[in-house]
Amino acid sequence: MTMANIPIKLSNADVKKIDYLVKIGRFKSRNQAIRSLINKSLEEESFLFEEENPKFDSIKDKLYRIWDNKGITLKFLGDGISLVDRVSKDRERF
Amino acid sequence: MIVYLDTSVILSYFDESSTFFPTTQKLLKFPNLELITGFITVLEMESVINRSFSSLSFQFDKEADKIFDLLSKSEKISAITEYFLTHLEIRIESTASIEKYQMRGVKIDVYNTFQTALRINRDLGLRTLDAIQIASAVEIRILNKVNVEFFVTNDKIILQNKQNLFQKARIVPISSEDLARVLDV
Repeated sequence: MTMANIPIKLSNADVKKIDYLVKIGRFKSRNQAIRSLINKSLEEESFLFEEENPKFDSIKDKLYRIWDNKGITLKFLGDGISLVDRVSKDRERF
Repeated sequence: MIVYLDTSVILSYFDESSTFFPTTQKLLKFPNLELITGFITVLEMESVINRSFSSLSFQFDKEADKIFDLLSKSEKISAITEYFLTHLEIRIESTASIEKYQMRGVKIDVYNTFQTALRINRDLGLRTLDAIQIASAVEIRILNKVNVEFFVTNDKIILQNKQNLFQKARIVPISSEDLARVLDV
């Protein structure tokens, strides 16, 4: 994994807390503590960083060309309600 | 003529199970009809397709079938929604701006569409998503200065409130069948 250096400014109070976490052995160094705490916060927001399929756009282009030429419609299997009726039912629930 | 499309009208163009399928097939390809909608429609379409996904059968040829299977479920839903909207050349109009809503003296930032939906609903008591869709059309007319002539929907409750909606929000709801008759499609 390639790493980048980012200069950051922290309040003295935060530095003291980080040093304390290092002192009690939670982390080996300030560097590891800060990296770990950032990683944890980023994980909590992970849905914002979902990896996109790099081929998604090219697959869509191929599909859309075929659909444009040959058409696309939907049908329901079994006794499923139509999409149009589903919209109406959903709105009832709000 | 510019018309705002409600979600169900767009879906009925592709949904063979819908009773409105034959009419919308002709109507939404009618020349000189400019189709617009709001972003709420994208959300509603993805949501409905997602929850109906297991009981849907997509009618397209084997080549498309193979390509379609390269996508995950969420990608399929996104691709279908995007295709439905772009194939019909429906323009998504953005109306995002922030207004202030006051609650016990505290001012809160809210999206204008929600604020308008609230104002409409105080008098008409519509369902939440109906009110948001109508507010979206109202905001497009007022904020974006788009001359929306009709709000095309097949929703019975909205159509029953036709008079009230015109009086309150200057929006004229019309069914796809009636619009087809007006345009002689």
